[in-house]
Amino acid sequence: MTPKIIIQKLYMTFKGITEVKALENINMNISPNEFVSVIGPSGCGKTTLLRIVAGFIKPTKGEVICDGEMVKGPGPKRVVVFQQDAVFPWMTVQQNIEFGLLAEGEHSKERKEIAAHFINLVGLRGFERNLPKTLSGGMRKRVDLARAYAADPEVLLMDEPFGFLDAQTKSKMQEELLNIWTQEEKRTVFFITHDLAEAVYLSDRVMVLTARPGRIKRMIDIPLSRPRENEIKFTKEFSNIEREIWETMREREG
Amino acid sequence: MREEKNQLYYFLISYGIVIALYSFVSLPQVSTFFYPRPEILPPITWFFKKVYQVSTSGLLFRSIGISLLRMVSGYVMGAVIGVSVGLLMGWSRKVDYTLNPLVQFIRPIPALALIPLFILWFGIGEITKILLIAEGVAFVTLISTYEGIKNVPTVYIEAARCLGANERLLLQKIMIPASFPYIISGFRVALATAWAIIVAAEIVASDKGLGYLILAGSHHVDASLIYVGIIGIGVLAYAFDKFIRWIDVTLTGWMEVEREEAQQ
Repeated sequence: MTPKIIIQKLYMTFKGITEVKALENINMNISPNEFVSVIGPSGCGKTTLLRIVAGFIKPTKGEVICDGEMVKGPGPKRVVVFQQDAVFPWMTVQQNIEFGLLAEGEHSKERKEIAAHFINLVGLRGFERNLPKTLSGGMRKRVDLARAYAADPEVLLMDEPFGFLDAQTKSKMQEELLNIWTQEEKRTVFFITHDLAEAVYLSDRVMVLTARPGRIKRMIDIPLSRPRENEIKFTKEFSNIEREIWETMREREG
Repeated sequence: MREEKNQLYYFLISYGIVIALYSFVSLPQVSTFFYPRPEILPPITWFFKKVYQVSTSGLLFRSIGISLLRMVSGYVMGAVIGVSVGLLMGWSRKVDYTLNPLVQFIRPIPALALIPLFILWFGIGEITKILLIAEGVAFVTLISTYEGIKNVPTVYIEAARCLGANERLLLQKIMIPASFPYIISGFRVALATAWAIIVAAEIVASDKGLGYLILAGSHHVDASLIYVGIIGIGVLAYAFDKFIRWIDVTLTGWMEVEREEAQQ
């Protein structure tokens, strides 16, 4: 199977008063439909890696290949769900979710149909005409998720999307993300987080990055079967995996 | 509903206080104590009578009409130019770098200082007054639009880009609406600027309009004309501000200024 995303010999150095090496020699392949999480301490370059894959910034060295094409800029094949609230506040829920379709030049009837499907899927029916300011943080994340899905991306790039939510909402959103991911035609997901349990619960594979400069410390397969209920987090198997990753993260370099 | 009733109540109180104070100060016994010339502070009844006369003679409405016409044409012209150039400068680095030095130089010069130059260039006709207002309004709205575009949060731009938005869609659906709060506040500031310019220009170079009315009142030692002129300006400025506020609510109602409690 040819990989969906190939990251090759990637280096990123930010030049300034002092040079900051953010990423060093990142090599990885992500298979189609795979859910991969990147975990590491803050400042390890996780977000930088995602922004390079998204095409927002260019790496100092190396390249990212998506579907056989070199990534040169952002595009609807790789839609990003940000940590910040990126729902457009001047648009209604409906208009937000239709945005990617509008950009693709879809007709208004198709846009409505597709949007309606995803509005249902994230449980926002009845809120189509609401402005974001009338929604809670969790609901806005659903809008963001529906908007990303409606654009029909090949790859979803998620940069700690639930980082600003409270614990309860967060765990609910994780569950729903998995539901949507399984219900819909599976997408490749590249998920950034610093939350160990989140990474284990969601992913097929977890990549552990070292702190400054970010290097791949280890790739860990998550053998948990799917579908995964939220309760799986309380099983022995789950906590064993968590511990394994935790120990990897703590290990000294060298 | 109850709020609105209360507002009317306070409205009446505030104007009542002003009228009561004026009535007291303009009593002949009181006013002659301060001023030897009672005609400067005529009794309030006389004042109402004169206002009525000036209004019914058509002088007031002619003056309002002519000032309004100058104001609206100058303001619209200035706002269209200001917003367009502001958008261009905010959008394109090249345009920004080219025009910014010029804008930074001309902008701080008060429009009032340009009155003599504009009279020299365009005479004392309507064009001069309209262009003066347009000049003042254009620079205010240009800066606010430019700031608006520059302050669009990066996350909205990046979100739109990765959802596949091209340049046109990005400008139309993201940059412009996201800048509305800045643009509208520029409109309000520009309104005050425009009133200052029109009145000054009418005082300096006109034989019509509210500014001229004030000047004529001063020449003929007729305080009522001055008061009528000032009140006319006040009422019009107030109406314009209400209008801009209405536009503001319509275009930027999405902002979370007074956030309603999120429904959980």
